[in-house]
Amino acid sequence: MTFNVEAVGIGKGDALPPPTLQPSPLFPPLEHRAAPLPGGEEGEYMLALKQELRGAMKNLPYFVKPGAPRRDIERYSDKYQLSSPVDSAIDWNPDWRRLPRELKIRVRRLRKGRTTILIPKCKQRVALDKEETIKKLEETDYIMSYFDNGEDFGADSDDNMDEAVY
Amino acid sequence: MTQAEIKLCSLLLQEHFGEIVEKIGTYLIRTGTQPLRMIVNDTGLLLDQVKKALCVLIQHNLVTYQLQKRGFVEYEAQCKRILRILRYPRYIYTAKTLYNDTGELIVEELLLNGKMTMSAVVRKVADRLTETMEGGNLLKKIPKPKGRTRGRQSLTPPSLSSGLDGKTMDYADVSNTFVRLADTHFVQRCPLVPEIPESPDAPPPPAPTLVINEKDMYVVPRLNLVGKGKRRRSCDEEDNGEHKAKKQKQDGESSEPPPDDGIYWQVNIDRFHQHFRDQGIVSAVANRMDQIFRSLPAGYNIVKQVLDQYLTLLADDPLEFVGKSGDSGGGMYTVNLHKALASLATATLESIVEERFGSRCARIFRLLLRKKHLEQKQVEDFAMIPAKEAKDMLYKMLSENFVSLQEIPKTPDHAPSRTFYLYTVNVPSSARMLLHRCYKSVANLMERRQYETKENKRLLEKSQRVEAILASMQATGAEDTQLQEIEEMITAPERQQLETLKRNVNKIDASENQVDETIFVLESFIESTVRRP
Repeated sequence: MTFNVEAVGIGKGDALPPPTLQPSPLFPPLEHRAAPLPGGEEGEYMLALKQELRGAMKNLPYFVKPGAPRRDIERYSDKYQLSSPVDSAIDWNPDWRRLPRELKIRVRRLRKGRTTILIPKCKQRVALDKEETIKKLEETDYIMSYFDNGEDFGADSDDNMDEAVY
Repeated sequence: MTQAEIKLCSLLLQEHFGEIVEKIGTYLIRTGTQPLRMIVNDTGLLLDQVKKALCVLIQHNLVTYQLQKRGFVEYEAQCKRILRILRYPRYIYTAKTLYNDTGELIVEELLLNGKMTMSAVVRKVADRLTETMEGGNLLKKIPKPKGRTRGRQSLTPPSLSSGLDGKTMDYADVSNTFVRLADTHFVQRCPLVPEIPESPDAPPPPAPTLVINEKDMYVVPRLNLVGKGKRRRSCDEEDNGEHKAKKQKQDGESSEPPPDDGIYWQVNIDRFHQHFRDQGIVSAVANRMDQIFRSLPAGYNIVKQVLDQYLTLLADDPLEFVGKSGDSGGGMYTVNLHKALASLATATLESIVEERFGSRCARIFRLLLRKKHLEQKQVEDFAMIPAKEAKDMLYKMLSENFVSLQEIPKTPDHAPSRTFYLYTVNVPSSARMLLHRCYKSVANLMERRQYETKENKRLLEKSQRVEAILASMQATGAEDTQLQEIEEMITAPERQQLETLKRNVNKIDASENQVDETIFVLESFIESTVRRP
């Protein structure tokens, strides 16, 4: 040994500990099983609440999703596609009076002449977005499905093979 | 902030607000107070992303800002408040037990949105309650929207106004419940933007300094909210946007600011905690005094002497929840909160030792709690456990920091043979250790749950698609054979897999709720030791 073995705790003449041939087990052995979870109406209800809250929050505008990934080539159809929330847009209307001025985001106007309406609730904003989209649709001459720039080709899974392929 | 707490905060932020918000929140927790440009520089995110995230975090009271003297704004994360996201279901459920479905939805809306004006809350809650009421669309039988009804038990609102298309919820009732929540301090007003007289010379400050007067915190604005909840005309998710917008314009909601513009409300978390604490103490005492409580006569016609007896019993109880001070006027009884919280925390520790190490270890643990300091030999004698086992158990508990060793040297040279080694339980320190483990546990549970969901992502998406198809087919009145065909798109083993997944996720979620209860008990106790009474 290159060091004094006694420092580690192995006395003179003691056998060395057996060599380690594999990594230690992933989990320590469980001597006592955990007690069962308390069931009951309260527990069930809180469980449902928890899961609902999680689902609900994912759909609120407070859930900030990253902007659409930048396409490799700019395509003509991009102008007419339903755009997912862009990074520079904010889908709800905070009370800007309560926030530092530096945080104010310029909301990108999709149509000219649209006045900002101060609405405390966020859900109404979602409805307005839908209204905007439908109005935008009315503007265009072509229907949405006309513009298929081919990027979705091959992305769909071929799960259901029951459909006849022509 | 321990690593465990930071990790848990990250997971909570990510699950409820997405990765962008999580990244910024975590950055602020780790580095402390920062200005905007530092956040942008160090996180590598886009400026607009950071702005949006900060707005969200501030809206939800998870980050605060402060205007520094030199004119720039700094942002600070509120780590403890972020951890409270775990407790949201408990707050909502408590509101339900106290103020029924209306109270439940008010608290839920406030938690989901961070802060809201009273008029907005009332309107939203009335709409939601109306949705779940009986009556409904005359045109066709629409299946209930998935998930939102949560198996609500029979709703008995005080007044139902039957509109042409079913019952609706009156604004007045929701208002009343809101006022009651404010009166009992479960909701409180947010600090306000100060009313500064317009001075044309000075530019507006970069950030407002929000203020609130203590006495205004629970003052409900005088509102004349008249109206009823609105039911959506059709249950389809793809609602006719135009139709909806037209409806809103008719209501005149979007034209003027509401009468309580600028007055925002938030959930008063501390008040809920008070309630939980009281609940815990009452149920602990009730368990203890089970016999007495059961024999209490119905109604509070307790004769003074009987009451005296009960109070004395409570005061003399070794739990020391109730203390008696003085005898004037029959004596003044107080609830000793600190002792009560300590008892609850200790009981939790005992229970955990019992479950983790077995009943013999638990016996030793309780012995140490009672006798404070014991030598090895004394432990063996008092606990009536053979020396070898006792030693083994003590060392096991020692290694996990449930018990600690106190050295008392007999001689100045601290020679081991001439030193007393006493085992003891340091409750505050063990509580802190356990709390840290709880944070870690919840974080592990969440990660595992997310992993399980991710593994089965494809199957889950397929199942959701099939559900959606089924729902729309049912709405258009499809035949049973057609429905069955669609249902069969999910094979039997896939169904099995989904069942298993659901069971596992439910178990993990329920466990997270359970651990949060323990977190609450331990945190309350530790807080009470830090705050000098």
